[in-house]
Amino acid sequence: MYRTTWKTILANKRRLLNTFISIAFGVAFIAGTFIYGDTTAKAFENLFANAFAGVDINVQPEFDSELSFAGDTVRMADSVIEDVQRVGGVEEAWGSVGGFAVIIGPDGEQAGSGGAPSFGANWPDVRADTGFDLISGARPTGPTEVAVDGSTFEGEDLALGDTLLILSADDRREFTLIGVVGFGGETSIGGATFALFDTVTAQVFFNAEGQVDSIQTTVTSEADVADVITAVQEVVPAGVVVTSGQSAAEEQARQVNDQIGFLTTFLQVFAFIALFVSTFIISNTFRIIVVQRTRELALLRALGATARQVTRMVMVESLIVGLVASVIGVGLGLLLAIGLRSLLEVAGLTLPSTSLQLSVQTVVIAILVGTVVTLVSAFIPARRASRVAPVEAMRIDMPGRRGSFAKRAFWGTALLALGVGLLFLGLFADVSLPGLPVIATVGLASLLTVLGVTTLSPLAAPFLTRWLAAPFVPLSNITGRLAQENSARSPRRTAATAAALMIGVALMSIAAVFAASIQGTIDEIFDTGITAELIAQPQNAFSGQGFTTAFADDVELIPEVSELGRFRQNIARVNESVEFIAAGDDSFTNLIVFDRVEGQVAGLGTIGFAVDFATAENNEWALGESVEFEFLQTGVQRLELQGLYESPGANGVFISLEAYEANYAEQLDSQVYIKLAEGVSLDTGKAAIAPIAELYPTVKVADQEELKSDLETQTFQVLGLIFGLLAMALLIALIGVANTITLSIFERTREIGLLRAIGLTRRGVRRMIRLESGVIAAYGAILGVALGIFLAWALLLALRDQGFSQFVIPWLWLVVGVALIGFLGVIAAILPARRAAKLNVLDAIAHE
Amino acid sequence: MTNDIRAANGSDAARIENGSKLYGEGTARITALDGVTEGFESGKFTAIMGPSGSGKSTLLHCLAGLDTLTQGVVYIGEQLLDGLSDRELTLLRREQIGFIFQAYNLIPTLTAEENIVLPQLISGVTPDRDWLDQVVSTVGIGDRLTHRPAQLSGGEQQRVAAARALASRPKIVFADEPSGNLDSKAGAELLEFMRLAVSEFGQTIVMVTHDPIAASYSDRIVFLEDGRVVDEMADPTAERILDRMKLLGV
Ligand SMILES: Nc1ncnc2c1ncn2[C@@H]1O[C@H](COP(=O)(O)OP(=O)(O)O)[C@@H](O)[C@H]1O
Ligand SMILES: [Mg+2]
Repeated sequence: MYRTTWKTILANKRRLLNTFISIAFGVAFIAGTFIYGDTTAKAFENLFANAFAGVDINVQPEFDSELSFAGDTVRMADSVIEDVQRVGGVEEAWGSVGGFAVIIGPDGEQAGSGGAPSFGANWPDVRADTGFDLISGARPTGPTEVAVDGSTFEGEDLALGDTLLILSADDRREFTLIGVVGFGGETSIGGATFALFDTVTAQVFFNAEGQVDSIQTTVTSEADVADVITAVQEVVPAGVVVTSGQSAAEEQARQVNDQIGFLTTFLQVFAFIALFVSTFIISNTFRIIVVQRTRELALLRALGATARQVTRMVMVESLIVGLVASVIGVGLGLLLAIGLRSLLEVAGLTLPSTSLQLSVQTVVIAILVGTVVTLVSAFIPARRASRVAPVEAMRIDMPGRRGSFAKRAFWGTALLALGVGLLFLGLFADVSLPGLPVIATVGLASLLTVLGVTTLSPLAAPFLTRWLAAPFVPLSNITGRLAQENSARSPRRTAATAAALMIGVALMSIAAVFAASIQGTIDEIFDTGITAELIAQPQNAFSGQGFTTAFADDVELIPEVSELGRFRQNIARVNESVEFIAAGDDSFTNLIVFDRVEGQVAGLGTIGFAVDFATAENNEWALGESVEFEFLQTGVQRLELQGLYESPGANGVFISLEAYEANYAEQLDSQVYIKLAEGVSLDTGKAAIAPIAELYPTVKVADQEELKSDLETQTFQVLGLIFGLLAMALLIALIGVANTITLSIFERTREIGLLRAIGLTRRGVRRMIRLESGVIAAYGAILGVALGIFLAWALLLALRDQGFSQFVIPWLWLVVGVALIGFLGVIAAILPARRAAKLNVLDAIAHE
Repeated sequence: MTNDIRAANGSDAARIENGSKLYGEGTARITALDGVTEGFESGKFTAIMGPSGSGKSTLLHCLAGLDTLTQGVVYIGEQLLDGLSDRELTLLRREQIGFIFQAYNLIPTLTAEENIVLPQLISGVTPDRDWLDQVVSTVGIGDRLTHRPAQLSGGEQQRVAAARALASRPKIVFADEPSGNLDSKAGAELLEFMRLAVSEFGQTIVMVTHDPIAASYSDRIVFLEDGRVVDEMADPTAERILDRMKLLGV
């Protein structure tokens, strides 16, 4: 009987089309994220492979990369180079040193785009291949010469001989542009700007006199690399690792890819959301098709097919649909990978790229996931198909099998109660499930809540959809009324369709409420937590790089400024987890508001630290407690808890500037808080600082209002990215709406014919169907918004210790969003509505 | 009486002239109607009879503007249907024509009352309450107005459909085997009502049927065979119809 399967699929092709599309889109998203991740990883591998192509041995101090913040490394004495050079078999040995180097273009602006970092390094004077190729000009020699990467050279419209201002962590100098560098055929390393100097100049400029970050060597042709590695290991200091150039390349690529791995994971979360949404559509479609084919199935049963054969027949259909759609999805994934790249670039994230990497693993995973999801979604409808009784072949009416509503009400309420109950327990009683942190309990509770709402939704659908359509009824005579009744007619179908939309919209609402609440929290921080009128921070907020301390030194001297606080940021391992470490001088502590302090937050010296009450409580720390910190440069240090605080302007671990200087190599200010002298107006103060700020192009000085709006822009950029990624889930859900509409038109063909016969115009038919679709979509959107607000509220409560003090609902956005989605639902139905309106009246009336 | 909707001049409510309808191409070509010329007098109940496949439904559909003739013309009242757009035809059906199909006449989501006034609801005009009450009480479903079709018996459903066909006071009502799915009692009730609509309210009805008893409720019968009008009969009785059918070899 499977011989008929293919024919059945073809016969149902219009019914299956939307399902097909939603599977393909879901799979495309999954494949796209894998392809994007693999491509980026491959690009980094290529970059490092090129950098180490001419290197036989790499010598580098070992360090804990988890503790490295914004590119921090550990250095060693450059005298090691000579020791290595003397080892038998070593042909040539050279040192590499680098750091942050911001290039200021001739226009006075920082070179490079958006989020890309700015690096500098030495260009060693050796015969070996250092990974740097001269594109034009010459290799820099002497203290005033620099070479820049090809992309920056072109992008900034530079010319050889130009004078460039370049800033390092604690130096600023003018250099003459002498050369343009490439990297094994590429003109840029992942979009970063690159400045190269001769070795001594780089050491001075990067505050590394007598030091290098790493040493590279080549070996003589007769030497064995492994033997030489062993020999070199003998002469280098403890803690310095000697490896082959190739494994160094692999290791560094691995480290970078580990760091950007979160990104792939982040994208995959959205891909799986999209696929999850398509499960609703797949299962809905098969359910409807099974119902519509009841008579055919019953006939098969009457002719002797077993229940199992009928199930298997439907499953084989879904297998074929899932498989074919998944294969096409993988193809679409290639396109999507390019789209993802553009989306992330718009959001300010530039990563290196190379030709698209479609691995066997990607193909297998994507096809497997797509097919399995289809099979699983079709399973329940397939089981239902097997339960069609042979006698139903004789029935004239379309059977509308309904499950027990009482049962549904019971389970839905139970799930919802369990979810909400767990949520409240986790939030207010701090009770969490054994072995789970509170946030995981809240997550699980959210999932249960979603399931509860989904289960109950068919019960609410008839009322809510009628209510939603009500405003349109007086406007549209009977079409509105018909649409109203139709959307309320198959509550399960409406609910399943709406549920797909609900999930996407709920996630969008959570993001929107978070964004609004973060904005509210930021406003709150500025309004009540910070007394400084002006704040200086890096122009490029995304790179994590601070700016030179010289800026604060200069500003401190002008008379318009009464007090100036320096703030720095890095990371350390505290109590087994890597935490942000904030540091500030005593002036900083004067410029933010503390609601409550026990012990002290100023004068912590090199041995003390302070922390907010909530963090102390979570770690069970008491004042006077000695806590282990592990720093990248100085290893394990014990600091004493000397202060507990509560402040709208700060939270987390806080140490003094002295302690920061003692434990971190690079001294860059993350923020400088400026309080103006008595009687100095904001404008006067800004005007006084402006000439200094001009000397530091990487620094941006802003008043509180400007900062608020800057941060708002950043928040909404991230919100935009999340919306962009959720758009796929939304798109699939809208296809689901069109799908349901198409399938219910099939079912109601005769009814539409009748309406046309007794005088409903084509336009009337179109209007009726579009309105029905809009109502279903709006229903899903309203459920989603309600759920989103509730869950965001719960999550924000759970995160209140992390400084989320405000809960703000962006009503305008949400209302506009629901209306928009209702409108998109109308758009989604345009084609099905047009098709319905074109039905031949007589055929429709005769339709079975 | 005020509710008399008979055309003043007593002319035809619908008329087909030299109407032919062809289906298919080449060897599969079927002539469903073959040069039919016939008028359907206003205020009269006309039945169309004929063997299965003789073109009865095709004739009805073409008269009602649901289908178009391959050749020939159709008038509803003075209005020539030829050349009307889909929209104009739809409006014409809505305002001047009533329908009773063999089955599935009602929208399942609407109540009986809403189904009855559906054409008016579609055009957005307020139904004439008095007239409606009169129709509803004549058809005998006054107590079931708030029910949905699924809660009504087959006979009741067809009577609701008949009430709908009359509610807009159309120029003409077309019925295709309206009692075909009903038992004889329910069928008789429906036909009784249709008869009443013609004699009491002056409605014009054209009904396709193959049942001599149903046809005997009419004022006149038109016999079709192979798409041609082959005979007619005025003031028929069931026996005369049976005799005639035997004669025609049905
Ligand atoms: N849509 C169609 N396509 C092709 N042939 C048709 C179509 N509709 C009707 N016919 C043919 O036209 C002839 C008349 O059909 P119909 O008017 O339905 O007859 P009746 O109602 O008298 O049984 C029949 O031979 C039928 O097969
Ligand atoms: Mg017929």
